[in-house]
Amino acid sequence: MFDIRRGTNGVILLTGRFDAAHVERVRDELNSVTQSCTVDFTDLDYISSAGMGVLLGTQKRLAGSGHSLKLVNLNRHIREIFRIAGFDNVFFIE
Amino acid sequence: MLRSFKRDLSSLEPLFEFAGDFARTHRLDDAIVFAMNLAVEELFTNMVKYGGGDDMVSVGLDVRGDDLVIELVHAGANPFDPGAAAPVDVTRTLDERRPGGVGLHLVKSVMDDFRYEHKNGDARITVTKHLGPRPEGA
Repeated sequence: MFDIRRGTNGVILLTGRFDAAHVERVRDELNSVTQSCTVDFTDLDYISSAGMGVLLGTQKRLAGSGHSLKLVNLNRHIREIFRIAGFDNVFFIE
Repeated sequence: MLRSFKRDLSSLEPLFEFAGDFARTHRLDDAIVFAMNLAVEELFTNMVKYGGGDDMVSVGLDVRGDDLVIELVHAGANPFDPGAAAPVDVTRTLDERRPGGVGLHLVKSVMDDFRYEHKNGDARITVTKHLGPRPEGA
C-alpha cells in the first residue's frame, strides 16, 4: 500500500511503501510543487532508490529557483539509507 | 522459498508479499526485513530495466545457518555485472548529482556479501546478510 496526499499548510504526506511502481504518481504530484515544501515521512515505512531519485530530481529543480524540500520524521531505516546514499548532504532532514 | 515473477514492475506487489511471508515464517526483525526488501526490489528492478532475455525472474529466499541468502536468477540475460559498476560518490553536491547507481550502492552497503555470475546464459545474483543470534525456533 502507498499513498501521497497534501496535508495542512501544503505539507506532503507519504504513507506506506514507496517502491518503483509508484514513481510516476509521486513525480506527477511533486511536479506541481514550485516553492519550498515539507515532506512528512511519519507514516512511510519504506523507500527504495527509485523513490529517492524522484525526491532528488525535485530538489534539483527547486534549487534552480532558490527553493528546497525539507524531509521530516524519517524512520531509522530510511534515515540510515539516506545517510548511506549521501542524501543528508543534499536535503535538509529533520 | 523460491518463486518466479514476471519481469515487470507490476510484480513488485506480489514480490513484497512473498518476502513478507518469508520474514514472518523466519521471525526476522524489522531491520533485516527492511534490508531484505530493499535488496530484493533493487536487484529485481535492475533485471527489469537492463536484463533482456526471459520474461521471468526466479527469486529465492533462504536462511542458511546464521545468514539470510537472497538469490535472483534471470535466464537468458545479457551479461552485465552490477557488482562491477563504478562506486557512487555520495559526497557530491546537489548540482553534481546524477540519477543512477544509488540502488546497487545501497544493496552492497546493507548486505554483507554480493556475488554475480553469468553462466550458460543465465545471470545469477546472490546477496547475503548475517542475521546474528536467532530467536529459538526461528
